[in-house]
Amino acid sequence: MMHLDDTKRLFLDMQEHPENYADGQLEAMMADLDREPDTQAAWQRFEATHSSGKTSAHRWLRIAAMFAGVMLMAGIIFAAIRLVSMKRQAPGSTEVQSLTTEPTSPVCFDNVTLDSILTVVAAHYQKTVTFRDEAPRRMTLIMTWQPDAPLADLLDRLNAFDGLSLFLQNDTIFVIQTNEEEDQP
Amino acid sequence: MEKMEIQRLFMQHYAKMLRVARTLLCDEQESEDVVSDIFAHLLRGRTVLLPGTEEGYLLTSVRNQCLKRLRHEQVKRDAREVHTADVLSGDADTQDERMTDIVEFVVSHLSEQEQRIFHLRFTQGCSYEEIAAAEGISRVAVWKHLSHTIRAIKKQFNPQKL
Repeated sequence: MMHLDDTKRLFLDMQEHPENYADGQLEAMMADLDREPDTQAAWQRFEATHSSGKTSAHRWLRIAAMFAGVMLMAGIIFAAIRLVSMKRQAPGSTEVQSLTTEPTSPVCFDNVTLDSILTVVAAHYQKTVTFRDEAPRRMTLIMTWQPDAPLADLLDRLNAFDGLSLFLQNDTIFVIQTNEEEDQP
Repeated sequence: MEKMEIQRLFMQHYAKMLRVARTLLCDEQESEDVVSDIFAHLLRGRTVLLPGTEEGYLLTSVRNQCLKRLRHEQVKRDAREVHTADVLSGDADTQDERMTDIVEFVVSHLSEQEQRIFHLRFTQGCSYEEIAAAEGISRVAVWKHLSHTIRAIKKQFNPQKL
């Protein structure tokens, strides 16, 4: 059971029954709501939380840990498809297409390039892929994919990766490299 | 979106965004989280803001996110599982539609002065002091007008919740 704290309760009651409060009490509440924040300090906190100065190794460890956690929590045995040795293939090649024949079980991509992952995924959702930048094409990822989940879910998860931005527009998945990578020393 | 651009938007709009969030949530930490989440979303680079639309986008985002949090909070209190899925599945479009409905209600059911005050507070992020000066009334009068507006909105859209 969640309880409103006293300030919140007071605020709500002042909205519901302002006639029950003296002007001074309403003034005090307004002063509290309108007090100027320390924007510079807030920015520093934000910057510290969303720092882009992570090392590549740290980043991949974080990604691996995140997906390991998801897999453990789900308690599902994933059908792991090792594609590490899969050679770079042109979109639409026979081998990649063979993976896209309506997979229903979760698919585990283990160190697979984003190019290959999106080839499989896009075929499944009947979309096309456009890489606006070439670098993301070669990024290798460790992740699971639920073929019966909406494409938007997968895009959201991929967008959680630093340096990567994907969005869907007119049946095309656009992939962009964000500037975070370039900012790193 | 580039980090320098995010910093410019943050420095320019943070105070107003926080003000709107405080008015709706009355919780400092939650308000800061809402504003921070919006900038984090922009930092991930999925949204491009056209010149002249920045403040409108940011303040609308604050309102929508606060509205979403308030509804989630109420759902938790109610523990009405049957409603949970509906509310949690409320996507951005649903929230935007809801906000549009609220704005339309304000325009069609409230006095012109109440409409102006609502607009100044929630779409321009003005302080009570600024609204009082613009309307030529006391700050307490501003509070009472806004209270009346919010009560009317609650009654119209969510008599059991919010």
